[in-house]
Amino acid sequence: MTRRTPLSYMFASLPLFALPACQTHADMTPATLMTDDAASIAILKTALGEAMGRANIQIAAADLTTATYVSVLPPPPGEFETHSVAMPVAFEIVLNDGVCTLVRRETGEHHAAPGLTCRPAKG
Amino acid sequence: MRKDGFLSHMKIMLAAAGVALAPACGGGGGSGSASSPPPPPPPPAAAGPTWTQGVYASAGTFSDKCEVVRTGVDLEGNAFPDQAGSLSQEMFWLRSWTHETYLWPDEVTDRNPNAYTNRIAYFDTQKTFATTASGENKDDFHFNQPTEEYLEQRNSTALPGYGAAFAVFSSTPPRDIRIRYTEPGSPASETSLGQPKLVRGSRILRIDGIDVVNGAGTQAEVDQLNRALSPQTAGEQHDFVVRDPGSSTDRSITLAAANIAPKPVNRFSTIDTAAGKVGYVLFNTFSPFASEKEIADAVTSLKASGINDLVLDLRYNGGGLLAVSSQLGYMVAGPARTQNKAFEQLRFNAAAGSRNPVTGAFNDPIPFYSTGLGFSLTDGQPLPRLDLPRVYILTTARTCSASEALVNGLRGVDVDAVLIGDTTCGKPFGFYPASNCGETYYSIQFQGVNEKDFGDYTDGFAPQNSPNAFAVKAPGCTVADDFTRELGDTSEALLAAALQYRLDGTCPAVPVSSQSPQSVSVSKATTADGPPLELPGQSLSGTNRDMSMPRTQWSTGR
Repeated sequence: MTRRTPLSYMFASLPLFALPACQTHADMTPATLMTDDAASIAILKTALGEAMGRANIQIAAADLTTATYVSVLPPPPGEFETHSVAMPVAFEIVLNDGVCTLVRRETGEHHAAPGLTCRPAKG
Repeated sequence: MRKDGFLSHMKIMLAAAGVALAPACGGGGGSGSASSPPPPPPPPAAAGPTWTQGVYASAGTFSDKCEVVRTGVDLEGNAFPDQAGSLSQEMFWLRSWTHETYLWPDEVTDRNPNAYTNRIAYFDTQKTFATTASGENKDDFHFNQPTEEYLEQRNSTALPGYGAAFAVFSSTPPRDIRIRYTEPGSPASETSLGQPKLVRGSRILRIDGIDVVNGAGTQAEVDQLNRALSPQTAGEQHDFVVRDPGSSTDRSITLAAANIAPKPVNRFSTIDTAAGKVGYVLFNTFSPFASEKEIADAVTSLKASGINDLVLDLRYNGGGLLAVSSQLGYMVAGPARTQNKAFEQLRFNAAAGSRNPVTGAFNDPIPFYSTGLGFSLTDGQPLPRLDLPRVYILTTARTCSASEALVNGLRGVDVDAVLIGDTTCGKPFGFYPASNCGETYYSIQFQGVNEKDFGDYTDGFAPQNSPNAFAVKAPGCTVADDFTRELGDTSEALLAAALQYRLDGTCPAVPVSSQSPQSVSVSKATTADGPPLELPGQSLSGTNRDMSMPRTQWSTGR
């Protein structure tokens, strides 16, 4: 079994309350980062940190100039967490009315990432 | 200190009450009365939260209300959430949190927090004291540690060490310390005079000139040994004299500590047998995120080599990420046996209903994950699979938790988990560590059950011919851990027994003992002529981390 949710299905299932009133599904386009240099990653981590309510954000290794999502790693299990249910948290990267936005896959909540530059995903 | 904080809190409450009550008092100034005002009423005798047996306020009412308020940020950069509170509130939080999330809240005696003066002493009461049929404590996994230490540990990926896992057969004279395994590429596995500095079974005889076996008669010498066994900084060097299994001569080596991160897949190989190829994997921990990729890569490689059976060596695997355990289950069994089946369902207390009482989320079962999850593999990347109807798992008492979940999960979908070795640790339980006011608490919150709703293995899983009457029996053979051969060597007792059982379904005639080359006792010495080594416990270095849970109150004074 896979836990991935196709982006299209994801958008279709987004709770309405999570959408800003002035925007619609049609405004959202799967996207990638324009560049994944240190400055962009820092902006991305800041946005993810606000979304997760955590100061320390570690993201899974990926080419974010081609990937349309980013995985936030959980805090590492402690020495005695031998039966840990920790899981990464995935955020889709979308352009929402031109603004680079992170959509939490499991809840549909979305969080603008001001200063982050995205472009529509290819293909 | 508790009292002071308690009273301070009361003063705030009284002040607030006075303001709120003022309008209702009526009268006030300007009444024209000449009589003097009545004396103020005495302060109430009780202060802070009031205990009413069986009545629990929400834990959220008391969370982060601390006797000692921390300011600033923790080492992960998060601001401390502490607010001014009291010791009483901290203990009321423990009481309510236990009531809401503990797996067996109905078995916890409701005690008045105000009768306690120490939060840890109170926490120690917040558990069941029932025993299992075997006489073991029903809850052996209830402990705490300072939050600072918890955060420090979980953020320490690489620690100074030699890359050797030590087994302590006796910490008092005659001391017996040997090597369980070494980490590849570590100082311990470097070659010296044509052989690895340390090998499985190497016995430590002297360190920096001190006789480890019969010497070290003073605490100062024991401290010196402990420091050498647990180096604090990379580059620190110590001289060792060791004797290898089967050898009658000693070797002198120098080990320089390095920062070592444990390697989840220590080694893997393909074994050619007359009945086809068998894969062998020494998988030591499910914990670091790298475990996801390492185990998938090993399975990919073994599959490519054409194996038709697999031996998973989990004898020292104390658990870790349940999701990676699930992925391994899928890689072993394949989709036909696992699709739409639960790897593990978490069972919380009855009051939680269909929700996880800790996260509030719906309590969905954990499936057999068939793809990468993003720990270290790409999210969604299909996993390799072997589609095996059975797997041979090498076990000891250190095989614990997420490792046992793998055994149970596979049994739930009718994959034969053949166990070779000893009884596993018996921990079908888990928890979400909870931090409050600088202390992190561990209390059993869930039990994992498999597709068949089974999870009662608190006395462990054991091979069929084990004398352990209370363990859950599985096909296989009881064999004692064998320190005379390298792990992965086909003549090492557990692996040899697995290969034999695979061939003809038989076990070694007499359980193989862990007879050491030096023929010393493998039990704790009954008489001690010198101070015991503290033994870096089970945690001599980052590579030696014992991922099993302590079975008693965890002491921070290691």
